[in-house]
Amino acid sequence: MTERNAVTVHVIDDDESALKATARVLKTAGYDVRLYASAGTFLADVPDGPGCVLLDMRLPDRNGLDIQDRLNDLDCPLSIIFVTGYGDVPKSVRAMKGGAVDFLTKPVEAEVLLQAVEQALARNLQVLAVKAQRTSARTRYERLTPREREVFAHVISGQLNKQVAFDLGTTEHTIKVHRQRVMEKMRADSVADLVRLAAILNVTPVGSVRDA
Amino acid sequence: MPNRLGKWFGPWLCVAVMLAPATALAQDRGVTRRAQRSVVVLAVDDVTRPWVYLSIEGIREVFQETAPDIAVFQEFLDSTRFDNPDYIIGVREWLGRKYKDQHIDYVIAYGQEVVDFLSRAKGEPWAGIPLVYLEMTGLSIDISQTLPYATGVLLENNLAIALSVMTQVLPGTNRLAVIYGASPLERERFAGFPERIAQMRPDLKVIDLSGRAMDDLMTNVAALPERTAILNLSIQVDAAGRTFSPTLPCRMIAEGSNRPLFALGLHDLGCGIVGGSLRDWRRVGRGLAERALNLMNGAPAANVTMPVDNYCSIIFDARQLKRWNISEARLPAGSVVQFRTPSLWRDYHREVLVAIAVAGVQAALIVGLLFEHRRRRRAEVEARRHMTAMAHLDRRAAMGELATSIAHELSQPLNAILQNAGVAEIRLSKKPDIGDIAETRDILADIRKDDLRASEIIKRMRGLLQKRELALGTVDVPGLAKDTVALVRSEATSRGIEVVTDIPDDLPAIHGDRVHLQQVLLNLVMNGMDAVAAQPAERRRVVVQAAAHNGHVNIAVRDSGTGLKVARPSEIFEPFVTTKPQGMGMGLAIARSIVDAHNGHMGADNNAESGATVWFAVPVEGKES
Repeated sequence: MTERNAVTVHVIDDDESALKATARVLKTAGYDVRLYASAGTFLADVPDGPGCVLLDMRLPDRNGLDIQDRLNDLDCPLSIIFVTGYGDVPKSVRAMKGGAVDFLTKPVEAEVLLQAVEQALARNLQVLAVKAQRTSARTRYERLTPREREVFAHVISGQLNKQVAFDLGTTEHTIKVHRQRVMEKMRADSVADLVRLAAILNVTPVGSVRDA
Repeated sequence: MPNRLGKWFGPWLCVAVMLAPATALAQDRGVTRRAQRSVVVLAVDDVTRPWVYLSIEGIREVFQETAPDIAVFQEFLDSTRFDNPDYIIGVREWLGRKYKDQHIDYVIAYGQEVVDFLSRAKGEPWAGIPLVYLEMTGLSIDISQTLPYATGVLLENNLAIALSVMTQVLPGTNRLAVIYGASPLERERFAGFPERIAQMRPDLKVIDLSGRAMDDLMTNVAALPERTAILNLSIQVDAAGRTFSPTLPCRMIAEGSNRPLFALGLHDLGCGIVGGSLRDWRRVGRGLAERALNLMNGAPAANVTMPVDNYCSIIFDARQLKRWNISEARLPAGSVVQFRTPSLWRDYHREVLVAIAVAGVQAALIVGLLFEHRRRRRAEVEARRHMTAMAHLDRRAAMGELATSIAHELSQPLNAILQNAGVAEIRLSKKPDIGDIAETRDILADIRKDDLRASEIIKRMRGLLQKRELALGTVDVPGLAKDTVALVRSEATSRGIEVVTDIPDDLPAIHGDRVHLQQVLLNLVMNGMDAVAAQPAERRRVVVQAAAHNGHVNIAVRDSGTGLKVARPSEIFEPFVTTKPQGMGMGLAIARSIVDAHNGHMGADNNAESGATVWFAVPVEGKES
């Protein structure tokens, strides 16, 4: 379980008593809660820290799905739990495709709400972790020279040094040196490690594996 | 006896008819007159006496009917009252002078006195002119020499018949009070009556009340013994010298007497006499005139038979019969009864039958109309029932459209309740001995508040979903508008539409059915929302307005959409006319029939700037009729 007071649950609902009740549930569970009576006040200053958003589907000023799109555009890591007064299948499908963690139909039991929040926060942590990984991998990747990046792309395709050397028109030894440098700079222990990083970084493998 | 009768009746029954030859021409005031026959009627009594003027009227009638060109002149001698010879000579001269230039063809003479007058002095002034005379059963003088062209109408005495009829209708009568006036004429004319009656009818004891002053007479007739009848012969002048108009004495005597009154002339009928055998002097006159006409047509006087008639009819006054308790069964056969208390059936049975038939037809018509009215009323009730049923369906449809929004709206308080309850549970399970009572109390208060809110939403919805007939009462417009806007608030919110009210608080209450009126308003508001749904956000606005005007409250829904796309705005109230792709076109038609049932009216207009305004007006409470 995450450290609850370290995360913030953002609740957006135009209904005052709904807002109050939800806040009460979350606070009782120990969460830090921030309340918004409209989409506008929320979007005016989109938070990014760890946490999640409880978003009412119907808001006077903005549709819940619009807010989701907006957060995605901003690459906001906050997980979204949709809450709606009345089940609406097409909307829930769209919401889930847009990355929503959950789609709750009012009235929502306090327990269910807390579970959903828990889940959302877990997802948020994952996202944050992936994001952190990507950031660090990106930083490392950016330190590679262009020749090392070429070697990186060939290595992750599963080619042997000899094949890489052939493709890049150099000696096997040079490739070996570059490869060593890449592994060091990327802090990879193995080729498998390197492939995982490549996935994070969206680096496309180059070259075909042939029988030696 | 004839002579005596002639003496009594003759003077006033002599009529002389003189006819001018058709060839006669006379110049008068320079104007050429057509040949005209003329008759002079010569009587003794003055012409105001009923027997004189009625018979002259009879004469005129006949001439008018058969020979309208005959001129009728009338003269009276008054020789009974003024019988000195000089006067008679003077009259003769005066008549001669008067008729010097007037040719007379016939003379109608009333009675022997006139015949005497004409036969003496060689027939002057109208010697040799054909004469028709009236006399009681014949003249006592021979006039065949002096008046060769004379013929007569013989008047039969009526007294005996009159008395016998009287005793027939009043069988026990044994006394007869005989009345006549105190003038010389009357004295002479009627003096012999009491004696004659006594002779004629020994069973009747005559009480002679002649020649009295009226006051004295009235005292007497008021205190007559039983089984007495009264016979009024004539009172022209009483002993006190008072002159009476012809029918007044009968009226007075009948009024004041304690016994039934009789008389001899038909003209007295209706003046208080019981009736009996009464002489119709008009008929007498007609007889004379017919006789004269016979002569004129060339029949020689000697050959013309002299009819004998009493010119009487047996007639009674129903009021008097009733007064003296005389049964109609006792009346002689062929009697006529007049002055009946209007007995419709007796007098007008044909008309009564027609009237009854008409009334029957009318009654049938009324029943038919009532039946029709009831049928119509039933049809109206039926139509009203259909209308309310349609309205109910329409409300359900509207609620269906709003169902999602209302469910959402309802889920808000339910959600809050559930979560508050959950919190309370969590708190209790974690810290059963928690001292923070205030927080728990706060939670409970919130639960209660949200519960009430939920039930308010349900109540609002249920109110509108009721199926019922129109129930008119007092409706406050601001409350109506507020509730209606509350119903659509959630829907409006989800569609990003602003629905506002602009209604003064001091609006008078209206007379109507709250549910149905709310339905009308809801319909208009939802239409307004549809109209602005496709507009940019700042124009998605619907305003509910209300104002009092002319005994009505006008409630209008104004939108800022694209306006009504119909030729005439009123078209939208027609059934199956719709501007919406999914619309049935019944909403406004139903709304209008609801407003009609409130004696209200409804209309629509495009706004000057954008969108449309649809309105309805309903009478203010207390001015609904």
